[in-house]
Amino acid sequence: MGLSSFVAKEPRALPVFILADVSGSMQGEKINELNLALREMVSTFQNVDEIRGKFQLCIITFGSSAQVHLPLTDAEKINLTELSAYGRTAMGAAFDIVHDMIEDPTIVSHRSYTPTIVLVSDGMPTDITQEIYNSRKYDDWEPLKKLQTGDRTKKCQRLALGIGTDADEKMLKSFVADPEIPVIKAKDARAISKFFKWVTMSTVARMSSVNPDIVQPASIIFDFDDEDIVI
Amino acid sequence: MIINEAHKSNLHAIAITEAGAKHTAEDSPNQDCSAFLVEDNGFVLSVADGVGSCAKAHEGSTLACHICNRAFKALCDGSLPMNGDDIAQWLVQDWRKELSGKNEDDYCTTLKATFLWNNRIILISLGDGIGMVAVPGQIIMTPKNENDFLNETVCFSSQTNKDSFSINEINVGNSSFVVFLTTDGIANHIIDGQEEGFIRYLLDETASENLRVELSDFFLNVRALNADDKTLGVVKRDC
Repeated sequence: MGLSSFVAKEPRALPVFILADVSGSMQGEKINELNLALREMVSTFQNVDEIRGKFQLCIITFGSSAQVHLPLTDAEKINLTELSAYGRTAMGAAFDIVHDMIEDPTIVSHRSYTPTIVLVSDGMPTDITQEIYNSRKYDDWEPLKKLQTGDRTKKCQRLALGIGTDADEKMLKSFVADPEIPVIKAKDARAISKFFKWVTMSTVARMSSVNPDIVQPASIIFDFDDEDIVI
Repeated sequence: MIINEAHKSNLHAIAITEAGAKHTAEDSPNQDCSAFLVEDNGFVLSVADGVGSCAKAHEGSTLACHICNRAFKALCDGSLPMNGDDIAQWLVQDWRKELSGKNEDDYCTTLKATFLWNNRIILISLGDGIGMVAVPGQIIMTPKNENDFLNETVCFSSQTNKDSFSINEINVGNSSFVVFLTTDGIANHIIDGQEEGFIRYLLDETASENLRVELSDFFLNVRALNADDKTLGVVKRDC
């Protein structure tokens, strides 16, 4: 047997959780662009060389309800199915799901590197209280508070893309909760693929660094349209 | 790979350390350190991992192990009581004294240390890595969950006080025991949930005369799995 039988030869995982808005307003170009961006991200993760770890991806969709579209899966084993858009915007329910998954060490192992949570939405959450809706004090919103205070979730890197004029800038900033990480509020669907290229590049760079637990997203070098806002 | 070994009475101490691939490529020093002192009635074993972003990480980890040795000498001469709080306080004070006039945050380091004196082992922990002590029927371990997703490990710094440490104690009496300390370059590659099995194997299945071979083999198996500096230390008593 020997002590070497206790060595975890499995590479350490860097989990990426995508919270994808699939509400009715995402129909058409937006959901098409999102599906394309996700395919490109998976392809990149599957083809990166010389990293001492592996990527894992989970996709949680939120429309009328929140669902795990893709359970946390090693990149090499992913077989993506297309997202389709319908219904409202149950973003809070998605926050609850991702919180519970990350806090569960049988899903996200103790050996994992710091997870990244990516939020993509074109609107406001519809599963919030009237009080939060009126006040826009999202830091008091229970599902977001849980993410910000969970033992493990509070350490995660959070990135966000808001698409179009209905995306709530204040909510996105509360979600990211880091003045050093920009929130992208893009005019239309064309920014989706650029945003995901940035997320992918940052994630690959982390995995190639000496300590992938240190989360410093790469500078935004992609040309967004003039109307896009980097907050 | 550098191996240090010592025997005294029925105590056997061994420490293995190596700079990781990244530092080797840069021709930078190993930022891990290990040290032990073994006497007839006790020992100290420490491992430390300098925080890479700090300017003097290498000096910091070396200093941390050095002050543990000094603390042990103070235990031996009776000037330091054998209890966790006093030892932690002593370490912090000695750290501050050594770095007086300097920026402590240039020397940040984690630390795992065990002290045996008067048939008791005190296990002290600051930051990531693993520390475990096993006697027949009982195991103590440094806390695990606090190490998850650390992008800024707890470490010796300007903010450290005695309450920053986690402290565990175990009475070893006259029984066999084994101590295992390691920095995160090794700790991250012990199968999750099998840490107790690992230390039990060291205690029950690994004779002291085979420690060097077993630990070296284990170390070599972990070496290629990450680019971090790697250090482990073991003290075993067979009775």
